[in-house]
Amino acid sequence: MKNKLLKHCFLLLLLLVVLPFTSALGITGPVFPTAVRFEPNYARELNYIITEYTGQVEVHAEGDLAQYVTFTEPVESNNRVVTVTAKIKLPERINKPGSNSLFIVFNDNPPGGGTVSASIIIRKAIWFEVLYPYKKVDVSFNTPNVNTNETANMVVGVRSLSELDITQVRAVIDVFDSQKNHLTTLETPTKRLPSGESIYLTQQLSTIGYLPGAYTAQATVFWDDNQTKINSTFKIGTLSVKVNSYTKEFVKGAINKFDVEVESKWNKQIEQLSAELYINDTKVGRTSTETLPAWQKITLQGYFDATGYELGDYPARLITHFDGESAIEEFTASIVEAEAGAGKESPGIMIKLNTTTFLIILVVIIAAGNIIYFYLQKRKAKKQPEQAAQPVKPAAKPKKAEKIAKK
Amino acid sequence: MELSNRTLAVLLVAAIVISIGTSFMSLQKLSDINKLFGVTTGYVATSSHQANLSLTLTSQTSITLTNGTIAWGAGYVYSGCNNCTMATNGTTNAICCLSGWATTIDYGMLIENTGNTNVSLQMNITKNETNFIGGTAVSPYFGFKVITGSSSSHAYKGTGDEADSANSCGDAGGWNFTTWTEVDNSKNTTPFYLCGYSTPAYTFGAENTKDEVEIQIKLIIPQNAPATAKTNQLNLLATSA
Repeated sequence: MKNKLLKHCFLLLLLLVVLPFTSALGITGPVFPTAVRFEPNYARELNYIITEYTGQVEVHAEGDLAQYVTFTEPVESNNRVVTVTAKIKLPERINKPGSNSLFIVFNDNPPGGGTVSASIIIRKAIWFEVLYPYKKVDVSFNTPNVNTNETANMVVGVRSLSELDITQVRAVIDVFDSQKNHLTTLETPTKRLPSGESIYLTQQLSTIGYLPGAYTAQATVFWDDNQTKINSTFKIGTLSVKVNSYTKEFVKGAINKFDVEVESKWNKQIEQLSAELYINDTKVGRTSTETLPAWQKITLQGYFDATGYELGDYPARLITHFDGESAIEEFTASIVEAEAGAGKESPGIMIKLNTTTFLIILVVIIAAGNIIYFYLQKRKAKKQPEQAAQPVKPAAKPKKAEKIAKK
Repeated sequence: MELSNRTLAVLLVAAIVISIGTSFMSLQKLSDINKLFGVTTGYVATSSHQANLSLTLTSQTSITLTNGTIAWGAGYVYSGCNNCTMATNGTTNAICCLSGWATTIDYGMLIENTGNTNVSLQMNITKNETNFIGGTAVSPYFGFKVITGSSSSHAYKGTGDEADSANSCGDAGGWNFTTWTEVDNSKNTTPFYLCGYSTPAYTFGAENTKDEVEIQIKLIIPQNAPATAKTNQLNLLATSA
């Protein structure tokens, strides 16, 4: 009994030594993915739940606006969940314009020890945006990709970061090709930008006569007596694909996988994309048919059985089909000797030995064992009557007994 | 009692039937167990039903720290050496580092973003190397480095290899301090970014395949470092929206 107890204590000790020490801190609460526009006397209560902790959790506020936050007393429930409320009460005015930070900080203080230990601190960030007392804007520029002869809708976004209204906002858009040649100039209408608001200045670019390729647009935004420049790139597409790479070397006498990497030059999804491999003008393989999103790349995969091909180079052709169009690549395919495991697909059947397969095999073995046993028993039973029919020979005397008798 | 051949045959056939039957029953039970634990069985659904499901996923910021304490224990520097160098990547100078310090530690601190929101990750360290270690025989050194996609901490005493398959710190940015970095005064007290470059850039991911990082520790203890208990603390600061 004592030994058993000792053994259990030893195992427990071993477990404590073996198990790695893990600590965690988890916070659930409101999320502020974007900045909050400051409003005088802004007030809000934020409820946080501390779902995981190791030591003593301490909650406080940090950042530019920390002084405007108070906390309720943390309440711990039976299942080690702590709830706490942060009460934010901002003043009438904040003197620092722009972004003002506020962090609700949860600090777990696990029992330390060791030479070097670590603690986890989680901060939930809230950013308040305070308007500037002078004119200030934030500018964005969006130029979508289009296909040839389509119209591109160019959008300039202007966001006021100012307490003051901006009376006149307009944009001039210059378009350049990839060689930086100036192609055209577009001008947007003039608009008024009220304090703290956002407006969009749009203009349409006709791409008739433009070649497929990459372009740059530069928007110069005039806002009252100021101006801001911003660039954006866009592509004009055509229904074509670029074959970036493909398999050119195949292993003799094996089923070879071949890859074809294709890149779209079209601003819409290509619905039917596949490739065929020809060697000596004979179709020897085909990939599956796939869809390809606009401007994306994909690797098509097919198989080529190189059985019957001798070592050497062969004239080959790769035909890529896409939405009724096709692209042809002529190349030289090489049939080579197999290297150890080099790109060769085994033609054999591979059985995955999982639990189910193992049990099925076991059942078959048991059944086979039973059948064999049954057969052997039956055979033995047949032999026994035959032996019983044979004449009984007199039993030979044991030699040892004989010797003893002689003595 | 002698059994007749006929009886024996009947018994054998019964044994085969029972054997096959129970085996298939076991398979069926095993399938139920697999389903219980969410293991894919390969069963195909033969009918379909529609149901509407409505739920709200609450945002949770959660960080889990494994091996948060690195303990080399008591030790001393051999009098013939001017320092003892040891690190959590399993290296230790077996000649110069004696007693508890001769034992190698081959795992670092594993930090996992176990919530469902991205965070930025900063760190500060309570003591710089001079205050932490001291001594003058050589310059005391306290360093750290960040290891991404590592399995060494997962492998710690059999917790298994669950290493990330992708960079856990954003698509473009990546982790800072991926080589040994000395904890001098610039790394002491003021938090610095391990992942992310400014507070609104929350790039330490929460996806299971890219949600962890390991911090390795390295010490160079001068032979004449003051003989006291030496402790230091890394404060890991995770910020989310």
